[in-house]
Amino acid sequence: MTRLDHPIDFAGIATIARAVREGRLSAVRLIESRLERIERMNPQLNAFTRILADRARREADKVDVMVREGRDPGPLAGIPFGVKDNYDVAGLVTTAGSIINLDRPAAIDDAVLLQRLTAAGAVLIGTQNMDEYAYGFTTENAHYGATRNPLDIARSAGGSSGGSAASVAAGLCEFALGTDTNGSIRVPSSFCGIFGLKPTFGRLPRTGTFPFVHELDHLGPFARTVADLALVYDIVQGFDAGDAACDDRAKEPASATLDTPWAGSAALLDGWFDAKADAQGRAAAAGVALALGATATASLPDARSARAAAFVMTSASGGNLHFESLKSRAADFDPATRDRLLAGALLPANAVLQAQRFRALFRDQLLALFRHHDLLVAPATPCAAPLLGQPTIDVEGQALPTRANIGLLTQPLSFVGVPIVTVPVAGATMPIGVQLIAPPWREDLALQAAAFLEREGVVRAPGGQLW
Amino acid sequence: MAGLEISPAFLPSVLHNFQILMDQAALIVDRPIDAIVEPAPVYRP
Repeated sequence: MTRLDHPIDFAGIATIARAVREGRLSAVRLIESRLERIERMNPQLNAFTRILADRARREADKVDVMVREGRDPGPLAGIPFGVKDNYDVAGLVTTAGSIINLDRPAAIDDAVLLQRLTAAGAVLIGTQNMDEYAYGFTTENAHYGATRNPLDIARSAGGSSGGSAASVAAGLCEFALGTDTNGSIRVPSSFCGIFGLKPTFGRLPRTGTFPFVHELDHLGPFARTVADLALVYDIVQGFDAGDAACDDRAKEPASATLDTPWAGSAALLDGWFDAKADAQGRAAAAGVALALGATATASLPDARSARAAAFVMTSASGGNLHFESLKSRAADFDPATRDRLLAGALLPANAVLQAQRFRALFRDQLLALFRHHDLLVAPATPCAAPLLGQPTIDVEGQALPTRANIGLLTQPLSFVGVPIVTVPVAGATMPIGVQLIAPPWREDLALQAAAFLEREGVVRAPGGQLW
Repeated sequence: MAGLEISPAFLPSVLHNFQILMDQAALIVDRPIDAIVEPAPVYRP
């Protein structure tokens, strides 16, 4: 195994930001330390695609000036973060991991979530690698290279938000924003051993991000602790009319209830979610369920069909979105993306419409389980991080193509838009993630359970020295 | 096909992926779903 020798800061966002707000730590100094670390580690990890040193120094200096003048720079004062390459950053082209998008004009404004974070004092330090157009689970990008897992650089960081997860796991930034259509936050969280939140569909506005599948796309954060994850989530919440799917509801902060002792009812998902996981994943999910006091298992008999429907909708919607480029610039796509999008563009309408309508049926199955349980538990990935370039993974004794099957356990759930926190469970060599699945709009429950598990030592991100 | 001219070089892989998609679609196309269920309810005028 090849390991990077890297220190990871574990002071936590709130503690670091407090030090900045109280003038005990310069935001500029903090940013310089992360830029130095990125310079040292990114050539090996390939997590960041664009390092925005000038912008970061400028914004950090603004934070320090505010502190010196006695003004409060906000709850994320000076905190360095990154965003996946499908978020708009003013003045940059939003590549979404493609070279085709390089012909698009530069973004005029930051994405809405990025604006909210900047207003809270956070400092953007760069954009992060992803599978082309978010269509993948390994961040092996033909144009921008593969992102390597900081826990073992021979392995995949997961995808499609692999650069974001790897950056956080390596301590290159304190948190990052990714997107999740079929598992693109939960898979890299699982492989990199960190926490990830895919909120309820419609909770966070996607305004200023490049789409993949409009009816399945979610935005969400990665962090190394539950408190960090919840803090960022609380700050980015709120309606924005720029996203037609964004629900006009009041903010529902989750940080304040993290310390509440877990007293809910949890159940371990069986059937598909048991069969498609390996021994490590099954043991991790069972351990988490046990710690949450689960005494029952729960079944989603149509999980296989839900995964199939998500698969169909994704290809069809992606094929439609990129139809013009598929006609005129097919050779400029990553081949792994292109051939699936072309296939999706050929799908009969009946299959696509049926997949969309199947959502209501499967949602009702899932909501029925929540009449008996507050939280459902399932492995996040069929296995821990595979090697980069590994062609197959073992699922139920069968060698299945890696890239197409890593989302087996995440796809059926994002298909119906419920909120999910992925928590990291240590393994003998690599960690693996477990999904904490809550009813719609109850991110607070999943985060509360995650915080309980973290306090109990059942889940944790890889440790390291404090700054 | 469907307004696309697919390069012969890409065709084997495209057809392979299309077969995978149709196999997945076969798992859902025959499921009876209530006629009132809309396919894509997000649109608002």
